[in-house]
Amino acid sequence: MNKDDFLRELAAELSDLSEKDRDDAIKYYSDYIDDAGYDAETVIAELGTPGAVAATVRSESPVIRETADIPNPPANPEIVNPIPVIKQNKAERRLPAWVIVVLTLLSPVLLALALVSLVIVILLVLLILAIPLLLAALTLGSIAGGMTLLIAGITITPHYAPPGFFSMAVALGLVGFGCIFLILTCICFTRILPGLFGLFFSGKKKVKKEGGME
Amino acid sequence: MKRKVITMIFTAGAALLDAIVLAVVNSDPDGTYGYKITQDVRTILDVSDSTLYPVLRRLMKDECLEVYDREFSGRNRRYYKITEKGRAQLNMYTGEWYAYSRRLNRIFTGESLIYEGTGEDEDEQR
Repeated sequence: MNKDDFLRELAAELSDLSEKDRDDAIKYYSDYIDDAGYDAETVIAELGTPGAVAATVRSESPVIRETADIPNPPANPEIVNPIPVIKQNKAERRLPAWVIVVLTLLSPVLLALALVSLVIVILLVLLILAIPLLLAALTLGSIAGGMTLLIAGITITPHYAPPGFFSMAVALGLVGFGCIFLILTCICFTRILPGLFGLFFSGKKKVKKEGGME
Repeated sequence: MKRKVITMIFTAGAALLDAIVLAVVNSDPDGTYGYKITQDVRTILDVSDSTLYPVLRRLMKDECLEVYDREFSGRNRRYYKITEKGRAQLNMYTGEWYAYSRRLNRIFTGESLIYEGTGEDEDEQR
């Protein structure tokens, strides 16, 4: 069958398609035959009959030849018994010998380094946790001290005015500082600490979520 | 013409074919033509001669590919070129394939499936 006959028959097979769809298909196969670069009759024979090609054009997905003769597991002993294969794979995944030797030699140093880093991390965490506690203590101390001084000042003033006024002034100052510390403590507990906890635990949460997805 | 026969034990679904064709077309910045696409795909999949046309048509309908005709040795040859949308689609397919093949390899090598790793590949899926 020559190219013109093939395309004419293909067009006839596709006569129910819209003109554009038909022309697109004809153009594709016309180009294909020209571009194959060898004898058109052979190309057409490989493409199949116009009816078969028309069926392909209509189909949603292409035909992939499934090779029935390939899966022949008994011929391959490794596939018959998959366990040795897996063992072999695990062996291949092991670290090379020199890496193991170097790691063994370095292990005391690495251990010490790991311990030191752990201690530093723990200290940092304690320090961070200590700051809000310190602020809370300062708040409590200033306010309590201020209040005591104020009462003392009020009691002294009728008897001996100057130190009474002085202690009342100091007391008010202390209460003022106490208020500032109180605000800082509140900020610490509501903003900074949850943020830090978020930093520490976000990694874990993420892993959990992914575990759920798998 | 005798070609090297590609044996296929695993069948390729429509999405994988779309991805392969997009990748093949994308590899040529000026676009490429039907016969060459078929030959390139045939280096990895045993598709028969006539069958890539539906894939190309589907990708054109989805606006992942566009066509234009260009003069070649005295005739107009139709070229297929990837669009921006097609490139985005190809990126998505590539990422998906990477994550999927990593998980497959993990199973084949007998690695624990519970192993979370660094979470890199899981992140890429999203």
